[in-house]
Amino acid sequence: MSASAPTIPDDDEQGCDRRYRRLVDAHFSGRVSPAGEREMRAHLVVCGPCRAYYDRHLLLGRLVPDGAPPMRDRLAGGLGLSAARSEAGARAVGQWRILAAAGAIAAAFLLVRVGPHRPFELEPRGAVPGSQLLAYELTPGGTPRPVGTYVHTEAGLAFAYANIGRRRYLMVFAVDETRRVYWYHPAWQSRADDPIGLEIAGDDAVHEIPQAITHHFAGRRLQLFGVFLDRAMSVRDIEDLVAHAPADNQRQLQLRIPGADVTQLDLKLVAAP
Amino acid sequence: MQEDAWLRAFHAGERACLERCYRDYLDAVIQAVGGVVIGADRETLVHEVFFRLLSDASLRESFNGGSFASWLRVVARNQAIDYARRRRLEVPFTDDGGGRTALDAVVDPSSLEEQIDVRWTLERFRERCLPAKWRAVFDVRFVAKLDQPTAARATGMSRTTLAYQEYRIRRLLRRFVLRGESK
Repeated sequence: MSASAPTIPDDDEQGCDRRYRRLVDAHFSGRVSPAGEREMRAHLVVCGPCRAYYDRHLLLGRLVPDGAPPMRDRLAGGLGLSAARSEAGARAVGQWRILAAAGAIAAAFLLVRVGPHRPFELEPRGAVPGSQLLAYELTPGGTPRPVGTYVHTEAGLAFAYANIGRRRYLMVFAVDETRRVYWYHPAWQSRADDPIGLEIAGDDAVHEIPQAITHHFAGRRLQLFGVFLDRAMSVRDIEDLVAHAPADNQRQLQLRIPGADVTQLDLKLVAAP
Repeated sequence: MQEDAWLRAFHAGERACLERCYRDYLDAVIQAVGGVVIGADRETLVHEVFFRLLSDASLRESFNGGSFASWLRVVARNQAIDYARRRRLEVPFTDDGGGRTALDAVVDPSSLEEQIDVRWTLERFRERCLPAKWRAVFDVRFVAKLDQPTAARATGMSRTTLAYQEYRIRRLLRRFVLRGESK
């Protein structure tokens, strides 16, 4: 490392390549390579803003429950060594990685099938992609897990959406093999009510819906639906459609709603651990 | 004999030997430099010491037996002096002649400063940024540091809802701290 390299003043946030911030982020999430670590370390000697950014990461690690990966593990990773990790350290790294992954581009967690629902047809060329729903399962351990092919029978689910189709309303519900409907959004808590879909943001950014909701599922299979609409439909309208929707030869519902983007995920139900 | 074998492995830079050095002597290196620099500087300095150990055969060959811990302390101290020069820091070095410095006997004031910084940042975040609907979870998990089951009982909410709110708070806190809004 050379003492003759120009130093970047502490207050010159713009005088630095953002690449080094990304190296710092990678270091704290345990993903930096030894070469990247060396590059970062050489830069930290001469860059006040990046040192301050690194120090803010250290502060963040002291603020959150379970903390950030311990220095022993982070430095070992940057040197290409393995350190003897404590169980807490390994868990903390896992949590940070999951948080980092959950903050990544929405494409990683998408529900299958976007756009107007045509289960056995190819998307027409030039079709505009429809809106997308993201689902997370909250396990007893507490860390959100993107929903893939299964959910636990006692799990809480939380959702986010990207309103690419610029629809006005969203309805999220699950249907089991007896066609029983489990409502997420809107919540339906009294049979005397007939709530309509949630009004949603009209842009294609990822928006999270704050509530996490737990249902106690029966059966072995579940279909999770996200329906993006321009016109308001009520929960009773949807339940009527569900009751009369055709099923394929695997007994999976084929739900069609004219003018709506219907996203669907077919899941197995697994007993809670 | 065992010591000779270790020395040969160390000079040769054998991976298992150097990994063990890292595990066994990291704390000694941290202690050697910790009274001099803190935060990012401290971690960079510790990285430099071990990187030299891993990559510089001539450095390794300059150790020929005796107390490895003492030798490594001297290496770390010299590295710290060089680092301070590069960073243009003024650092006091007072050697009491026993290989330890007077600084080693002093309680590290940076830990007290860190505690104040944590408390202050949590207060500012709560006041400036945290939505009221999440304050209950913030207070039990981030301030009181209760584990999740205990926190869920204390707030009377389900664990899944608590976990999800905690996840949202973490994201907000991360943005608040890393963008420097906590200053």
